[in-house]
Amino acid sequence: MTQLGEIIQWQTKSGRKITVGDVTITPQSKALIIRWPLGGLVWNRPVALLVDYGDRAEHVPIVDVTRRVQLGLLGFSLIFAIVIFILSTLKGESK
Amino acid sequence: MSKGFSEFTLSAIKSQEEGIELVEKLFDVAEPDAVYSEPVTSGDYTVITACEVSVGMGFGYGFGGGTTPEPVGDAAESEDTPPQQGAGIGGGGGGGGGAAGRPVAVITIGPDGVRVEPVVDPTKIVLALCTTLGSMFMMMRRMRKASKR
Repeated sequence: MTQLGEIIQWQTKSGRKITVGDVTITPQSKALIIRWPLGGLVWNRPVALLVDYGDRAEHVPIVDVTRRVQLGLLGFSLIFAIVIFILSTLKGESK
Repeated sequence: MSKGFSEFTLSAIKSQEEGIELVEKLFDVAEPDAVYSEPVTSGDYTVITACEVSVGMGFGYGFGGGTTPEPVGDAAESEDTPPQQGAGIGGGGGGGGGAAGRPVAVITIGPDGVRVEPVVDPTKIVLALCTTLGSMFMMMRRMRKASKR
C-alpha cells in the first residue's frame, strides 16, 4: 500500500552555490509535491538565501509580498464575517 | 485477432511509458534551479530573479477487446449462412495539464551587499481587495435586510 508520505511531500532544498566576488549565495526553495499514479502536481517557491560573506553568514528570507497581502485580505474578510455573524445573532436575541 | 491485439497492447504500453516519462519530467520543477534564474552580471552588480512555479498534469487511458458469442441453435446449424465470428479491439486515452509562474523577488548582489527586493503584483492585490470589499458589502446588506424583518 502506498504511504501518504510518498503521495504528498513537502521538501526544502538548497540549490547550487553562486559565488560573486567574496560573497557566496546558496538559494533555498520549498516544494509541495503531490503524486498520483498517472500524474502529479508541484508547487515550488523560493524561501531564503544563505549568504556567506567569508567572515560571517546571514540567512535572508524571501518574502512574497503579493501572497501576504492576499492572505491578509482573506483573513480580514473572514474576521469581518465572524463579527457580522455574532452581531446579527446578538441583535436577534435582544429582539 | 491475437496479432492485432498484441500490436494494440504494445502501442498502448508504449504510450503509457511515454506518459510516465513525461510525469517524471514534471517533478524536475521541484528543484531549486526551477525557481532561481541564472545570475546576470552587469558592471559591479549581479542580478538573480526568484519565481514561484506551479505545474500539474494527469492522464488516463483504457482499452479492451472482445469477440461475438458463438452461434447457438438454428443459426449454428444453418448451411446457407455460415456462422460468422466477429472480434474487435479499441481503446483511448487523454491527458491535460497546466503551468503557472510568478516573479516573487529580485536578488541583487553588489558592492553594498546582498539585497532582496520583492516584486509586487498590483493586479492581484487590487482583485483581492475588490473581492474582499464586495463580500463585505454583501454581508452588510444581508445583515441590514435581516434586521429589518
